[in-house]
Amino acid sequence: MSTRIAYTLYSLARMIREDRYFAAGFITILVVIILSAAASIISPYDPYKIDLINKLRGPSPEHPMGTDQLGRDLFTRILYGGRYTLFLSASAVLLALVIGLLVGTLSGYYKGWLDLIVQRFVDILMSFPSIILAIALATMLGYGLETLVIAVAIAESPFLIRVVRAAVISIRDLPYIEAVRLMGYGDLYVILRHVIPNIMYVVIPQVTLQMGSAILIIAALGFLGIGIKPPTPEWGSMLNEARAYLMDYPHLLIFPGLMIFLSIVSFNIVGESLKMRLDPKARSLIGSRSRLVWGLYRGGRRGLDERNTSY
Amino acid sequence: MTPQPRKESIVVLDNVYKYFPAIETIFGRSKAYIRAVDGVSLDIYEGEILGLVGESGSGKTTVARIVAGLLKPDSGRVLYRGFDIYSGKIPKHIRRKIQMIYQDPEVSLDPRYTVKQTIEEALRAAGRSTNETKDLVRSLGLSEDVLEKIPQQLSGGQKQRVAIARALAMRPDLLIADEPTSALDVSTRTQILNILLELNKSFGITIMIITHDLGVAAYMSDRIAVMYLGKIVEVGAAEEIIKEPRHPYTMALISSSPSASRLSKVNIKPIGEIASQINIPKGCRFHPRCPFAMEICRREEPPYFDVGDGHVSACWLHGGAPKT
Amino acid sequence: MSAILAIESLSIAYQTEKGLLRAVDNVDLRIEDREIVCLVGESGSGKTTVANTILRILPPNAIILDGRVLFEGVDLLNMEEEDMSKIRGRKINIVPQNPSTALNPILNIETQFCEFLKHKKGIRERDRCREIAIDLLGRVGIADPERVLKLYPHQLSGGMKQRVLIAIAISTSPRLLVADEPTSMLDATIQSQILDLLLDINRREGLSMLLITHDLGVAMSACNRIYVMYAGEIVESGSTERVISKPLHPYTIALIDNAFLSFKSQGIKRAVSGEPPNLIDLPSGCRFSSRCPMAFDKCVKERPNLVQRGIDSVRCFLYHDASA
Repeated sequence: MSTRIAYTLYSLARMIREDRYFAAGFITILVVIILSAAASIISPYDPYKIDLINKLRGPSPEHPMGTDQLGRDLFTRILYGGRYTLFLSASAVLLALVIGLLVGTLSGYYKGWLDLIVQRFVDILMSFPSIILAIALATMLGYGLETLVIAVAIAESPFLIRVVRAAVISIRDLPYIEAVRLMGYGDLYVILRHVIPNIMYVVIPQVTLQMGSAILIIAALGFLGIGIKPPTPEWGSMLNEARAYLMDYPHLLIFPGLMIFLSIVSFNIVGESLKMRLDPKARSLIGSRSRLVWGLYRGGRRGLDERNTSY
Repeated sequence: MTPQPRKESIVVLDNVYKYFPAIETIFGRSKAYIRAVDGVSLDIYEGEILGLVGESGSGKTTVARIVAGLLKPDSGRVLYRGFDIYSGKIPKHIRRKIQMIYQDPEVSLDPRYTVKQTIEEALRAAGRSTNETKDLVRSLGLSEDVLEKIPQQLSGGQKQRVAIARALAMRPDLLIADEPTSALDVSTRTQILNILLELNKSFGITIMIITHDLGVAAYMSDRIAVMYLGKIVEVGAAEEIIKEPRHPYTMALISSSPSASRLSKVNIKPIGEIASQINIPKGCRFHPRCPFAMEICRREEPPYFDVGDGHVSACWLHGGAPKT
Repeated sequence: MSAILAIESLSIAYQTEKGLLRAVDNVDLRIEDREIVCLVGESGSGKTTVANTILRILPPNAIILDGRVLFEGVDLLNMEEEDMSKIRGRKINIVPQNPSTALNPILNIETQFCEFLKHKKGIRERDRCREIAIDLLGRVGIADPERVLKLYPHQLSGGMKQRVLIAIAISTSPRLLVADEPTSMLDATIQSQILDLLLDINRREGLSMLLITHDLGVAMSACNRIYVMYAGEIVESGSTERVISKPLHPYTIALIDNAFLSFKSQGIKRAVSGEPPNLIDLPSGCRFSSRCPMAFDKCVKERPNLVQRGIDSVRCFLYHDASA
C-alpha cells in the first residue's frame, strides 16, 4: 500500500514537471485550498465584523482587496468564502461520486432491465442543464447546507453514472475479471476488489472536471440567493451583495469573480490533463493519424534529422 | 491407428444453441440473430486433450465459454460430471474444478495486482494455504522475483504462465484453453504448449484447447473437433483428422495451414470467404465454398456420418447410413 | 548488379525513457529484380523497423545511427522529403498488416481509390479513374469490381479489404511492394488466398516484394529468399529451400522446429528456453547465446560476425572456422 502511495506521488511529481498546464492548475488549486484552510491564521480580521467607517475602500496595504459596503475586509471574506465554496463543492462531488459509483457499477455490471431503467432516468436528468436542475432541486428541497449539497450532487451525478457505467461495461467481461468469477468469488468481491479499482483511471479525471462544474453551480446558486445567503461569505453570494456597487466599486465583483474563474479553470485543466494521462483512449484520439489510404504513405523527415548524431 | 478405449465423459454438450441478437433493440425482440452456436453436441472424455478448431466466426470461443459455465446457452444441456452446469444445483467445489486460460495475456491478469496477489487470491478461493504460492510459481518455470511484479513488467509468455499458475491453484480437473498461444511468438508458444501437455500427462487434467491453428491442435490433441459457422463438421482422433480428413472444410483448413499440410497429403483450396453468421447458407453451411458441392448439399443439411472409430463427419459425400 | 533494393549496414535505435533501444543493428539486405524476399522474425526483432525505414515512416523518436538504403542505386535516407514522396506510393508501395484501419470508414472504395490515383498519378477524371480501378480490382481477383467500388469498408470482409488495398498498391506499377504481415489478421483459408494473390502479382506485374512475417509457414510458401532476424540482427539468410530444409543458425533451427509441429503421439518438441534479450541492455556476446543449446564460452564473450558463403550467410561461431 505504501508503495502505491509513493508511486502516486512520484507520478504526480512527474506530471508537474512534464506538463506545464497541469502544474499551473494543480498549484493554483493547492494554493487556494491552503489559503482558505489557513484563513484565520493569515488574516487578522473577522469576516463578519462590520466597520462602517472604512466601508467601500479600495485596495490598500491594510486591506489588500479593499473593503465591502459594510466595511468588512474583502480579502478575509474571500479566504473564508473559499472554505464554503470549495468545501460545499467537494462535498457535493463526493456525494455525486458515491451515487455514481453505486448506480453506475450496478447498472453496468448487471445490465438488463435495471440498466435500462437507470439509463432512461439518467437521460432525463441529463436533458436539463445541470445548473437549472440544481436550481430546481435546491428550491424544492428548501434552504440549508445539506439540501444544497444534495441538490448539487444530484445535478452532477448523471455524468459520473455514465462514465462509471461505460467503464464497468468495458471491463466486466475481461478475462481477469472472469477468472476471479470462475474461482467462485461473489459479485460484491469482484466489484470491490477488481472492477472499481480498475475503473478509477476514468473516474478520477471526471471527478476533477465535475469539481469545476460544482463550484460554478454553488456560486451561481449563491449569486441567485438560493444557496448560501449573506452575510455568510461565499463567493457567489458575495457577488450578489456586490451587484449594487458594480459601477462604482468594481473590485467587489472582480475579486470573488476572479477566484471563481481561477478555481474552475484550474480544476478543468487538471481534469483534462489527468484524462489525457490516465485514459489511453483519450490520448489516442489526439494522436491518431489520418486513416486515408494515402495517409499510409505520408512520411516526413522524422528520425532523419538526428542522423549521425553520436551516441 | 488403434481404436481408443471408450472413456468416461467429463463434459457432455447436448444439442446446444446460442444466438446473440445482431442489433440491440430497446423494446421488443431483435429479428436478426448471430447464430454463434447452432446445435452442438460434443463429449469431452476424462483425461484427454480435445482440440476445438475453427476460423473466426466459427463459434469456438462461445462453446468454450458455455463449457466454462460463463454463458448460458439458449437451449440444450451442458453436463459436467453429470451435473447440469446451468441448473444451479451443481456444488460450488465441483464447479470450481473448471478453469480457463485466455488468449490475450495483456488482459488475463488484473493490471493492479502483483503476481503474488493474483495467485494468493486463487489459493484462498480453493481453500489452500498461501504458502504454496512460491512452489506454484516455480513449478511453472518462473523465477521467484516475478512475485512482486505487476503484469506490465512481465513478458507475454510470463503472463501466460502466471495465468496457468492461477488456474492450477484451483486444482482443476478441466482446463479450457482459449487460443492460449496465438498472441505469443513461436519460440514461446512451444514452452506454453509443453506446460499444458505436461499438466495433462502428470496430473491427468482434461484439457480443451481452442485454436485456429491446426498445427497446434495436432501437436496437443488426442481428438480434434472442427467447427464451421456454429456447427461441428468433423470429430475424430487427431492423427486421423489431419491425415485422412473426411469433411471438405477440414481438408481446406489443412491445405491452408503450412504447418498442418506438412503432416497431410490433402490439398484442396476453398472458394471465397466464410459466410456471415447471421445469414447461414441453407443446406450444408459449407456448400458455397465447397469444391465438391452437389445438388443435395444446397437443399438439405447433412447429418453426421460415422466413418469409423468414433470419427464422425457431417458431409453428404459419405452417403451411406447416418449415425443415429 | 540488378538489385532493386540494397540495405547496407543499417542501424536504428529508438530513444526511450529507459535508454537507447537498439532496434536494428548492422543489417544488410538485398532484393533483386522480381524477387520475393522474406524478413522473418519474432516480435521485437526489428523487422517492422526495417520496413518503416525503407518507406521513411519511422516514428519521431527513431534515430538512424548508420547505413544506407539504396533503391535503384539512390540512397533513400539522404533524399529530401519532396523527392521521397515521389517514390513512396509510386515506386515503393505498401500492403498493410491491418486492412481495416488502412481504409477510411466513411468513404466508399471508389472515392478512396480515386483519391489515391489523383495524388499519386494525377488522374482527376472520375470516369478514367473508375476504369482503372475496375481493371485493377479484376486483377486482384475481385469478381464484381463495379459493385465493390460502391461499397464502404465495413461492408467488405478482411480478405476483400486486403485485395482492395493490394489493387491500390499496384495501381502505380511500383517496382517494390513492402508487405508487413499482410495476412496475420486474416483467417487461415483467406490467408492462403491472399498469399497466392501476392505470388501471382509478383509474376504478372514483374515487381519485387519484401514480405515481413513472423510466420515461417508464410515465408515458406511465398518467398525466394529468407532473412532471419533476431534481436535486431540478421542471423541467417539464404534461399527459402535451403533455410527451411537445412537451417544453420541454432535460432533458425529452433524456429523451424517450433513452427512446424508434429503429432502429439510423436512426443514433445524441445522449446527454446528463456526470452529474447533486452534491446536497451544488450549482452556483449552473441544475442542468442543465453537461449542457445549449443552455446560455448566464446559465444558469451564475443559477438560473431555474419559469415557469407554465396547467397547464404549465418551469424554464429559454429561456422566461423569453416569459412576461414
